[in-house]
Amino acid sequence: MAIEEGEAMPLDCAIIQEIYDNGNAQEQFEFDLDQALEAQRGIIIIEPAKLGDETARWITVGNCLHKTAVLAGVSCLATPVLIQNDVANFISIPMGTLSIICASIYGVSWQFDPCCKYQARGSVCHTCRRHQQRLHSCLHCVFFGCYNLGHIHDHFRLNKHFLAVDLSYGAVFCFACNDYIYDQDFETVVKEERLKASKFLGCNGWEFTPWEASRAEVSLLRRSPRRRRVTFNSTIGLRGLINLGNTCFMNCILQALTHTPLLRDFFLSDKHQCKRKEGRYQSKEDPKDQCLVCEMSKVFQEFYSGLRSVHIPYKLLHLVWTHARHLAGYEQQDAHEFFIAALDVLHRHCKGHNGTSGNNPNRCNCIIDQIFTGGLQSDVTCQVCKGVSITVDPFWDISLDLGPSGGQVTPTATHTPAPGSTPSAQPDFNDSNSSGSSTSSSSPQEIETGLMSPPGFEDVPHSLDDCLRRFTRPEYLGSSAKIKCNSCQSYQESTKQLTMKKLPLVACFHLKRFEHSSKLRKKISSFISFPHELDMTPYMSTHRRASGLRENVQSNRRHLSDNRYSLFAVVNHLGTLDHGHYTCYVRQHRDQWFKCDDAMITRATKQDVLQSEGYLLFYHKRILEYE
Amino acid sequence: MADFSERKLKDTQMKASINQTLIESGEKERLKEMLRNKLIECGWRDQLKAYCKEVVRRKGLKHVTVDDLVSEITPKGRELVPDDVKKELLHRIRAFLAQQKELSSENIPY
Amino acid sequence: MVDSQLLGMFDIENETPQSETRSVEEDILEELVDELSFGLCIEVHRSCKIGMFKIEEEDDEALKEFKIIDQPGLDVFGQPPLKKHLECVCPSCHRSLSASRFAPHLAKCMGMGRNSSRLASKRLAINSGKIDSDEDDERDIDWTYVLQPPRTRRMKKEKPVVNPLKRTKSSKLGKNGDIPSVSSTNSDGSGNGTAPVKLSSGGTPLYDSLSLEERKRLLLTTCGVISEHTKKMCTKSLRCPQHSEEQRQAVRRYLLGLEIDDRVRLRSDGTVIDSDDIQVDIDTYEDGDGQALRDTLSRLRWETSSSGNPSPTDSTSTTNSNEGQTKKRKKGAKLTQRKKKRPPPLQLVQSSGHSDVTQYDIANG
Repeated sequence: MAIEEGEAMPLDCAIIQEIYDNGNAQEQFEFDLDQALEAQRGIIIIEPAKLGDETARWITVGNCLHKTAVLAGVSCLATPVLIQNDVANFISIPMGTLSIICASIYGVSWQFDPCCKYQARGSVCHTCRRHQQRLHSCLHCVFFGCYNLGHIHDHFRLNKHFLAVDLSYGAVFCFACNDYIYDQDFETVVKEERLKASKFLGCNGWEFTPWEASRAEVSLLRRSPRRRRVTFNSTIGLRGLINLGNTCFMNCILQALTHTPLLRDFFLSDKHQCKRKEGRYQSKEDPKDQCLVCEMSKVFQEFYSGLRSVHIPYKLLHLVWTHARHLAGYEQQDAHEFFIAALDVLHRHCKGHNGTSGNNPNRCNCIIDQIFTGGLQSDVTCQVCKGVSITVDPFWDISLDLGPSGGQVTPTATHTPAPGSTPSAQPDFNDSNSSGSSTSSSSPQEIETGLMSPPGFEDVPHSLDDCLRRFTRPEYLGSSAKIKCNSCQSYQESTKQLTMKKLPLVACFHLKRFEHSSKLRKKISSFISFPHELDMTPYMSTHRRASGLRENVQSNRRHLSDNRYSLFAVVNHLGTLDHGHYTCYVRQHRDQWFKCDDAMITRATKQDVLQSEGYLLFYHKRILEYE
Repeated sequence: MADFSERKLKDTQMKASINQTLIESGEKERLKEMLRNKLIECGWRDQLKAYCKEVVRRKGLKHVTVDDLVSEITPKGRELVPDDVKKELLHRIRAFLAQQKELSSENIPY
Repeated sequence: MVDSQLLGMFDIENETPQSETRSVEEDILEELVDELSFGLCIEVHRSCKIGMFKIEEEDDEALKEFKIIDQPGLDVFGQPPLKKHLECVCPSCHRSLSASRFAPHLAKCMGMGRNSSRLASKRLAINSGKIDSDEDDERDIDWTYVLQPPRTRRMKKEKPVVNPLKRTKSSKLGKNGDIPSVSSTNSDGSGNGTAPVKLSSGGTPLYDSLSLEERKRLLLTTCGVISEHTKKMCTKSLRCPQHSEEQRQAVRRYLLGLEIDDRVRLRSDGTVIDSDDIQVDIDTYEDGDGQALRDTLSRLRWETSSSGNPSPTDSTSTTNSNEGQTKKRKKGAKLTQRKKKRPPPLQLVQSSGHSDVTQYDIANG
């Protein structure tokens, strides 16, 4: 048997492999293992598993010789503990003034940590030979016993070894106190080791750890004993906004933003460090007053402060208008436009704070980009050579057409059926999908190409899914819109397909209810159903690419990322194009919904929300992956 | 009867070895992480934590022990797991076991 | 060794019925769930032992205090729909004004919007003392000329002189049972409109001493009916319920003379015209004239909204009237046309310019 130590591996890891070719295998193996232990490798992998298991058992059974060699080198703090063990009279020691226990654990943690680590993976209860039932390891000697069946207790009674560590969470049980005890130093070690372990296991190198107040936070919390918590049936987080004179468009967006969970977490944890305060301002105004992110932060404070009075967001309006002059001031009335403008200003103001790569919009890691930016992939396929040219553009929102596809070409055809009077013949989108040449026009250029839908073919979307299917299906760009194909080196007819390359954490869907063509202006009030839970997987680039292998995708999906979204805010436009009002539904604390109508906040039901017309739909990703 | 007890013994042995495989492959930790995420997502954690706090309040901050908590929380925890989470996890465990079976029948050098 | 066992186990698994296998998986799942429960227990227990539990704990009082109130007609805080008048200070010109009129004010103040940037820059120039009647056409010059007095007055107003005035007015309004914080509103709105009020409050019917111009301004915003007992003018809004239309018309006739007829007609128009039109009227107005007049206008607007307006701009209805950007644009276009037709009268008859204002204010009140 020959054993190799993997040089290629990171220093912290040693691989010992067994090859069946040598009579002296056993000795050789032991020697190598010893070396690895002495080198204090973080992880020792022994292959094949059979030998690994054997080794683990062999260690646990108590071949202490190798271990003591290692342990002696690790810490001299071990000595007092060992002496105590030998004397075995610690029962008489007063039940642990905490300091003594801490001291001994400290020693113990250093002493035993490498040992526990190596043993943990293959360890079983020494009594019942199982590794379930809350396995604990004695901190005085080499013994593993389960807690649920009382085997570690037996060990204590027999040997008076009163400290044992839980192997799943690293908590230390003290039989003297008859409870778990917590020591800072020990916990630090545990945290480090767990992080290493989870990295090794490929759990994205990250593990869930519950929030814990830092020392500074603790003192802060002690000083201010009042707590605000968003709980069921609590008004915390809700606040009316005064209408500053037709500013319901802003109020809605503000309500949606303040109820965006991730954004809320960012602002309420005081993550924004404004660089603008440090001099680089141009105006005579107080520089703090120039940063929209700072102002947003204040708005969040206002919302979650518990105040009931109406908030006046006049500063925010001023800042947005100051920094987005293209909004043309009071003329600006569209909630969607305001949303995009506000994001843009926030994004720009964040940039100063990160100080990185302001040039590349894809590379920004400001909070706005982290939350709202997605990547839209556009595949233009040449109809002659079938060559595909791919571009990916960042996006903050997805604008979805509601009219009949191709209908905008001839104004006479843009007759939106009134809600409820829609024709029964509903086109099958999957079919039109595969045909590839089905028509759709979503932007003015395309309208000009003279693209026409088949006569009588009226595919008016009825649901958000319809809209998204239409959005992501291939569209024929028409004979008059030839695009230069790189492989053909000539202008060819082509199809274009949009898909989601990267999904944003918060997806904003904009239903294009306001139609402004040259001859026609109208509001499309047809009912578009939208789900409470949305799965974006079918609109992903990866999914569409593999659409031929649908089966495959289905089965792989489980292992791919989770693309489910939950609805958390809906902005509605009531009225007509000429006279209207914006209101907003926001979700808070799981499934409580509230209707925000400027200063008036009232409770709403999920049904109210899902039955509403919908102008802007905000979805939040359910599962966030660590990056 | 002897057959039955033998069978039962084998059964526990089998479970033990499956468990061993799960641990050694790291799959157990991965499953745990996945389950943890799902349970946080569905509010299980929050619910259970609120329940924990209730127990603490009942028993008194000074006197509450982990055993107290475990005995009350464990059954509650099992009960509160939503069915779809269960289903998904079971599916994944099953998939893993099937994969292991294939591997073990192919790779053992005997 | 273990592997052979394992293999054997899997063989067994092959033979065992499906239910058995399932129970294995369920065992595993249960174990995982238990382990997570245990983790949570440890976490909570730990927070108890290291003293964090108390810190994270919210008090029950707070929970009760912030409980949602479910009552029809009230919001979640248990408050009825907003009736109160709120104020804010414009970050651009640092004047205090009614929050519900903030957006339109800001648009003008910042010189944003379709036509206003030119105006704003002009105002800047005026404020800094450099009056340039420059590029504008004759009409503009005319108006600048006409409106010179108000501008100077306004500059004076920034001096402490304003203070007594503010007090008087606010106490007066306070009596009317209105907005408590009117004083600040007034400080910015203390244009020509307020001066008479101050005078009249002195006890003697000093409106006689007002110039025609000043009277007009005053009557644009307030009810103005002169009390028989106190000889004071009513400072409430144009729709003040205490006095009738007839009374108002009479007082206008009395104070302003024959021009009144014109105004009355316009006013009756005004009641029909919705605020949208009015909004645009201002634009029109601004288009062809000087900054000072616009200033007066906006001041008059604040005046209206702050001075005892019985129905402070109901947010919903206001919003409704102005919704939809396209509409706005369309209106704008329409107005531009109107404006083009109008200039001559504006130029010739001073009062016709004010009729525009009247129209606006009436509708707004």
